[in-house]
Amino acid sequence: MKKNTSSAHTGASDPKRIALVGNPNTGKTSLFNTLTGLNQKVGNYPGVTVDRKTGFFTLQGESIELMDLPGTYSLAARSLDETVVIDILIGKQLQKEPVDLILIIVDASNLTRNLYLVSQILELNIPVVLALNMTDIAASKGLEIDADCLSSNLSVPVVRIQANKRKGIDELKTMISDVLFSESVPGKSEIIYPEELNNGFTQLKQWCQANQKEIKEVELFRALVDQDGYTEKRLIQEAGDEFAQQLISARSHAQKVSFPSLEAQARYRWIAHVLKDAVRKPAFPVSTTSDTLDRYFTHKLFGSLIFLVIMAIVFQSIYAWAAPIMDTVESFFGYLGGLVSSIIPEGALQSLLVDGVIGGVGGILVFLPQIAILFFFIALLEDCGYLPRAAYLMDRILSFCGLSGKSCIPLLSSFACAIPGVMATRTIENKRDRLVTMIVAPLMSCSARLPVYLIFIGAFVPNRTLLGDTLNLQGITLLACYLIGISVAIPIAWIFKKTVASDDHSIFIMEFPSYKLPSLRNAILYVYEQCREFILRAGTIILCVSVLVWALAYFPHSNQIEQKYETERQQLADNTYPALLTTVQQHNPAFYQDASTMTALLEKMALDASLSSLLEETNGAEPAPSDSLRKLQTQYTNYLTALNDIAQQENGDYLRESYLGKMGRWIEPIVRPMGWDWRIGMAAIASFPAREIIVATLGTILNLGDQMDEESSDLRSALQNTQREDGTKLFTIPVAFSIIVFFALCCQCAATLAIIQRETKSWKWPLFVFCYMTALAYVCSILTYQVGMWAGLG
Amino acid sequence: MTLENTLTFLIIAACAFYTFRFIVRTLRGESDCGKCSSCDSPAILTKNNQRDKNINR
Repeated sequence: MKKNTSSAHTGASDPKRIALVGNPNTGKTSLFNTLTGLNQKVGNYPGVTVDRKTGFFTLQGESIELMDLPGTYSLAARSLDETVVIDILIGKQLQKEPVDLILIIVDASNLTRNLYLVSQILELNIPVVLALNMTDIAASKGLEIDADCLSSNLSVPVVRIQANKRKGIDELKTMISDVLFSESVPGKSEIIYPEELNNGFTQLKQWCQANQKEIKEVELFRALVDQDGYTEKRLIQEAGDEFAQQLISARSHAQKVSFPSLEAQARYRWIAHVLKDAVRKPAFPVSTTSDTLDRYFTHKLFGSLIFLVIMAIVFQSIYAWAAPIMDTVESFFGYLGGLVSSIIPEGALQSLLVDGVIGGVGGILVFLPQIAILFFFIALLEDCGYLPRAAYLMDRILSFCGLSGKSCIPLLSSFACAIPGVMATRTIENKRDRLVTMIVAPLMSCSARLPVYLIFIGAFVPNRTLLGDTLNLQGITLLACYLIGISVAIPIAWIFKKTVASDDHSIFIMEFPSYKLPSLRNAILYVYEQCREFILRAGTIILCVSVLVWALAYFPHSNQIEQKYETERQQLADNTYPALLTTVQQHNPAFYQDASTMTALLEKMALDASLSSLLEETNGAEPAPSDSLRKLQTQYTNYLTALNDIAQQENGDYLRESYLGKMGRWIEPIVRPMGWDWRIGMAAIASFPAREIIVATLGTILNLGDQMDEESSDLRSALQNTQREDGTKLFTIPVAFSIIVFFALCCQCAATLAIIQRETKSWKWPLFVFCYMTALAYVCSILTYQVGMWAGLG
Repeated sequence: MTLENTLTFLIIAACAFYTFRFIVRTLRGESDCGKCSSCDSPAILTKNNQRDKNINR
């Protein structure tokens, strides 16, 4: 048996298909990854999979398609992710036949609840293999499970596995192979339903036969029991209003107890019978470490405090640990820029590579160490099972704004990236709750915002410690930046609930997985994946936008400007030359007498090792240098300073007269209330496809504007020193925070808008999200700047 | 046009083309956003759908 990836399987004949099904958080994705060799994300919380994922592996030389389906507690589909499960199992999706085998994975420590879904799946009349996962946790709870007895009671093969530790996988594959390649009889659940339910079902069946409606029994049963459910709605659409009348009539057989309750009672009776001999429970429930920890982690007061402490530690570490690596990366790009400048002659290509590519992409890659540290912590928190507890704590806050508790996981996911967050809203049954969650999810601070926060905090917030040495001001500010999104999302959600959405409220039920020691391997893999994507992005879209911004800021590169400043340089040389020559000749008359021009003089000065060393010695030399040398040093320094001023003015003129500069003038009146000048405005506009582009574009623009020199070779120092045209500093604390607020609230991500369009099947909502977030960001950014100026921070 | 200018022009043209393609494909939900390889991103789903279409054919 060998593993294969999807790319190898596009042959003409359809491979055999297996559906991987189970309750949420039972280890489906771990098992899927182990079987297919793919590396889908595994989260220790329910709702990681909201759509099917497909992988392939081979058994007996034949290609097998494995589909990882969203976790579900039953086949009574109401939310979008649950409809995916039932559609695939009964062969409704993609108009395909039902799957060849269903691989059900169950949590051994929670068999009673897990077997509810099993009982429904056994009624589909499809061969089944049952994987008994998390047997170690069951053992820690004192449960003794007899897998053979369970297999015999269920009439299906049962295999013990530990998906995360890859135990029992070979046995599972053998069992799948046996069932798949033999004419095996599907397992059956012998559930005895009450008479009224049977009568209703029989009535529907007879109506279908009489009216030649080909509806599968399992669909008919689900339509009968799940009132207003997905199957009922679909069948009414297919079979017409008469079927709807029949449903009402069939349901009238229910007397004192509703059909859903009758179904549940019948299934749990069957489950009790199945487990009777197969599971031995301890006389008294064993209190696990998870139970003890949950007493504190989910406590109203301590839980919230612990959450804040954990977050504070995470953000502290980002600043404390990353600095040395960041300095190394910065030095590397500085060296690379110097190297390229020395190889390629001065001109457009050199500027493109040094200012556009190295200045832009290098500027953003500096933040890679900090991003890696943040994701390392997120991976640990996720893997150990803390995130559902955080969601539980957030539920209290979210319920204030009338948002469903089910919104917690999508919103938490959005802290990493809004795209899986928006997709995770599929678990929300209430359509309007889902819509509001989708609208506010992009407000959560995703990883792309991190470089923006990091650069401005690094440049403008002092690296000071608070409360002794326990807290770092920069870390606290970063935590505050992350809270901006959620503190704005709560009132926004409340407003939307009162206006565009109804007040319907659904109950939040979430299963807490057991705590476990996080896997270092998983964390490193996760960090590697994230860093790889970040570098990939820096090397593709960020690189391209940086080059385009460079082109707009470099061209037309007028000759008139060049001539104007060349004349100025010549005049400066002519004015300085006689005085400098006189002083130099006092030092070494024979050597310098033939230096007839300023250039020749400077070249000779550079060649003269004795003079160079003397010039160096005049800097703080003991005893004091001679008068002639001091004079030479002053004249030489003044000349270089004047030359540098001319170069800065020249680059400033080039930038102002460039296409970018001209466009910037148009938008300057709009961004001025935020304290921005046209350079920040243009960098922000260039960042609308993806927000992290701002760092690279600012790097490019400041590089071209000659704001980065020997003293401010990195972007952070360049930001501190950049000046407006009137000579005042451009980036003050109010300006820096107005930029942070703008980027925290603005929807600068084309991919997020695209995913909202796909989920809502309309361009109306992404357009709405774009407009409201941009307007919100603009207003809040103006307020931040104005309040900062009023407080005297400017 | 010198070799240096030709190279500069070609790099800019390639970047402009890639950026345009990125925006169009992203808005059409065809492009991998690149932020998160692990989720079922638009690209992965599109690939799945495309493969399903191929198999059906």
